[in-house]
Amino acid sequence: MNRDPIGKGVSRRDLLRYLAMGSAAVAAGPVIAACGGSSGGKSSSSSVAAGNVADITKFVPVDTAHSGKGMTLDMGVVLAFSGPGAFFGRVMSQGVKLASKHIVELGGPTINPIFKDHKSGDPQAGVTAVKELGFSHVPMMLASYVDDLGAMLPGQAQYKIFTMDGGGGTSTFGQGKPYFWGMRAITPNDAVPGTVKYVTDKLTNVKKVQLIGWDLGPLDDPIVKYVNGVVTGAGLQIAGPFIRTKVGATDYSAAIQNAKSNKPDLILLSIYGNDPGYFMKQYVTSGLSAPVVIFEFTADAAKVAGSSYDGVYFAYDYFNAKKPDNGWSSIFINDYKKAYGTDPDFYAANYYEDTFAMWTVIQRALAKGANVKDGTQLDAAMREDLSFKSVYGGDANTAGELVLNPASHSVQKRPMSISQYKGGNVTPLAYFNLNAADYRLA
Amino acid sequence: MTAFTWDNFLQLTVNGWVHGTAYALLGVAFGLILGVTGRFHFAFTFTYAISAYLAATASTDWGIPFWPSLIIGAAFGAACGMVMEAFVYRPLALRAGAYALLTIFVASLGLAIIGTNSIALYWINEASLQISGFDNRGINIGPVTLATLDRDFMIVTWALIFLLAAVLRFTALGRVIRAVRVNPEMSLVIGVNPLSIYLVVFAIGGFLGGVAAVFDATKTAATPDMGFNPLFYAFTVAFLSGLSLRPLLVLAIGLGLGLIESWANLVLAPQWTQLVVFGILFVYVALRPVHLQALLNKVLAPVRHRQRAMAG
Repeated sequence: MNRDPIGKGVSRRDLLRYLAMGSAAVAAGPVIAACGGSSGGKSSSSSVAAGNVADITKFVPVDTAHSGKGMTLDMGVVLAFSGPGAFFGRVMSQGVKLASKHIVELGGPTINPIFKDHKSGDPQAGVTAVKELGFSHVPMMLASYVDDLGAMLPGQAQYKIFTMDGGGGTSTFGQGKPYFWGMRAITPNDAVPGTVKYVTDKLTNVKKVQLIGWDLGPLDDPIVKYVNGVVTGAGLQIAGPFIRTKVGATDYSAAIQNAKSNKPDLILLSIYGNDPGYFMKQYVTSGLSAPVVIFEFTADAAKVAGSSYDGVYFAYDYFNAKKPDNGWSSIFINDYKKAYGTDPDFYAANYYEDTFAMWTVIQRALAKGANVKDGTQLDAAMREDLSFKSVYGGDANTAGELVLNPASHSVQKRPMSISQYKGGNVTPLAYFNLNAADYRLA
Repeated sequence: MTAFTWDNFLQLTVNGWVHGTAYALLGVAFGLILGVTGRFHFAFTFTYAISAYLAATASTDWGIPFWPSLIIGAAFGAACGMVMEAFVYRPLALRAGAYALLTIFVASLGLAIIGTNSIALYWINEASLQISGFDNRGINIGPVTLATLDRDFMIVTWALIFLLAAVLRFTALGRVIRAVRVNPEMSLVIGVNPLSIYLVVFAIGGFLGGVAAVFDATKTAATPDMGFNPLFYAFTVAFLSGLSLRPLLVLAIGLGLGLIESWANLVLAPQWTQLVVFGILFVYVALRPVHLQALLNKVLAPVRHRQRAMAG
C-alpha cells in the first residue's frame, strides 16, 4: 500500500530547491502575496503574530481527558497526486502532514494518513481507492474533487467511511449524502450571489453574463440552473448557453470563440487548477475584453497565466497567507513556511483545518465512549455539533468558525471575498458570506 | 456550438489553420521517423516535453531570449531522439530480429513513461514551467483576431516544412533518406549506412517535434505529460498521409484536419470537436485507400467511359 507518494525525506536537491523557492517567494512577494485583507469581513490591516504550536490550544480547545493521546488512527486521504491537478494533491497533503504533526505535539493521537491518488478526477481511481480503504477498515478519510466527482460516495456509504472534502466541498450533487461532508464553500455557487452583488454595485456597464465551466455532464445542470437564477434575479441577462470545456484542457480557442459570438459583458469562469491560467493566456489575445471572474486563486495558475491575469477577478473562500486572520492561522502559516519553504495557499489551509476537525470529532466521540475506529460513530459524533474552529476569520485571540448545515452537509457559514489581480497584487474588493450575507466593500 | 455567422466562420478558419499547422508539423516529424526507420517512436511524447522544459529553463532561469531558447529546446529534443535510437532502439532491433517492431514499441512506451515521470520528479515542486520572452498580443484583421505567437508559429513551421521538402527533394541527403526508406539493405550495398541515416532522421524528427513543443508550451505551459495528446495527432496525420515523405502533402492533410476540427464548432459543442479528428481516422482505417480508390473508380467509371468514347 502506498502510504505516502509525496515522501517525507528531503534530499540535497530538494533542499536547494526549497531555498530557491523561498528566495523566489521573497522576490515575488507582492505577486503571490498581497492576497490582502481579511477574508472574514473583519478588519485585518495588521498581521497577527505567530506563536508556538502549544499556543494553538488557545484557539482550538483540547479535551485532555479524551484527546486520543497514544492512539494511532488511520485516515484515508484521496487526492489528485497525478494528472493535471497534481498541484492540488501536493499542497493539500502538505496541509494534512503538518496538521498531523501539530496534533501529536498538542497531545493528540497519531493520525496516520494513507495517501491514495484519484488521478485528478478519474472516477475509477477514486472507486479503487475507497475500496482499498474499505477493505483495510479505515474509518475516516479526507477527499477532494467533490469526492472525486461523486464516484466515491457509494463506496463510503458501503464501507461506512466518515469523510470530509475541503477541496471541492459537496457541490450540488454531493449534498446530504451519508458519511460525506463538504468543508468549504460550494464552488462556484456559494460565491456567485456576493459576486453578482459586487457586479451590480460596481461594474454597472455589465448587462450580459456568460458562464463557462468544466464539462461534468449532468452534474453541471444544477450548477448552471442556480447560477443563471442568481444572475437573472439580479436583473442581468444570460449572454448565451453554458459553454463546457474539458477538465484539464489546455486549448480554449473554441470555447473562447463560442463566448465571443455571444458578446458577453462579463464571463464567470468555473474551471480550476491550472486551467484558468491556460484559458486566460489565450483569452487576452482573442479580441474579447469582457472582465472575467474565476472562482479560485492558486499561485501555480497565476504563474501559468503571467500578465494575462491582470484585471481578473477572483471570488471564493479566500485565505490570506500574508495577513493571517487569527493567531492559529499565524502559527499554521509560519510552520508551513518552515516545513515547505513557501506560503500555504487556501487548499493547504483547508486540509490543515480539516485534519484538526477530524481530531475534534475524535475527541467528541471518545468523550461519549464511542469507538473511534467506526465511521458510523464518528459521523454521529460529528452531527452532535456542526461547528468547528477555523483558520479563516476570527481575530488575534479567537479562531474563526466553520459551521455546517445538517441537511446539505455543506457549509452554512464561510467567509468569502471578491478580489482583483492587478500588477502582481491581489486586492480584495468586497467581503461576503453565503447568499451574499454580511456583504461589504473592502 | 458557435453560431453560424460570417465572422465566426472566418475566426474558426484562422483557428483551424493554426491548429492544422501544428498537426502538420507533428505529422511530418513523427511520420519521417516512422516511415524511414519503421520504429514506432512512442517516446516522442518525452522528447516533445523535454524540449519544452529545456526551453523554459533557458528562457526563464538562464535569461536567454525566446528564439535562442527555442533552438536550444528543439536541439535537445533532437539529441534525445538520437540517443534513444543509438542506445535503445538499435541494439533492440539487432537482437529482436523479426519481432523488432513490437519490441521497440514496448521499449519506446517504457521510455515515454519513465521520461514523463522523470520530468515530474526532477521538477517536483513545479506543476508546470513557463516559457518567457515572447510578447504575445492579439492582432485584429477585420473581424478576425490572430495572436502574434500563432502568426510566428505558422511562419516558422511553414518555413521548416518547405525547407524539409526541398532537402528531401533536391539534396543528396534527401535522396539517401528516400533510398533508405525504400530499401535499407540495398542502400547498404551501395555504400550508405542506414543506421547513420536513422540517426539523422531521429534528429530531424526530434527537432521538428521540439519546435512544436516550445510553441505549444509558450501558448500554455510545459507539463510532464504535454506530449501525449500531440502524439495522437502526429500519428493521425502521419497515418492519413500514408507515411509519405512528401512534407507538403502532410502539410495539406494537417491543415485539412485542423480546419475540419475547427469548423466542427459550428455544429458541435467545443468539448466534442476532437472526436471529429479521430472519427476521420476511423473512417480512413475502415475504408482504407484501396477501398477508397475502388469507390472512386466506380464513381468515375461512367465519366471515363464517356471520355474514352468521345476520344475514340
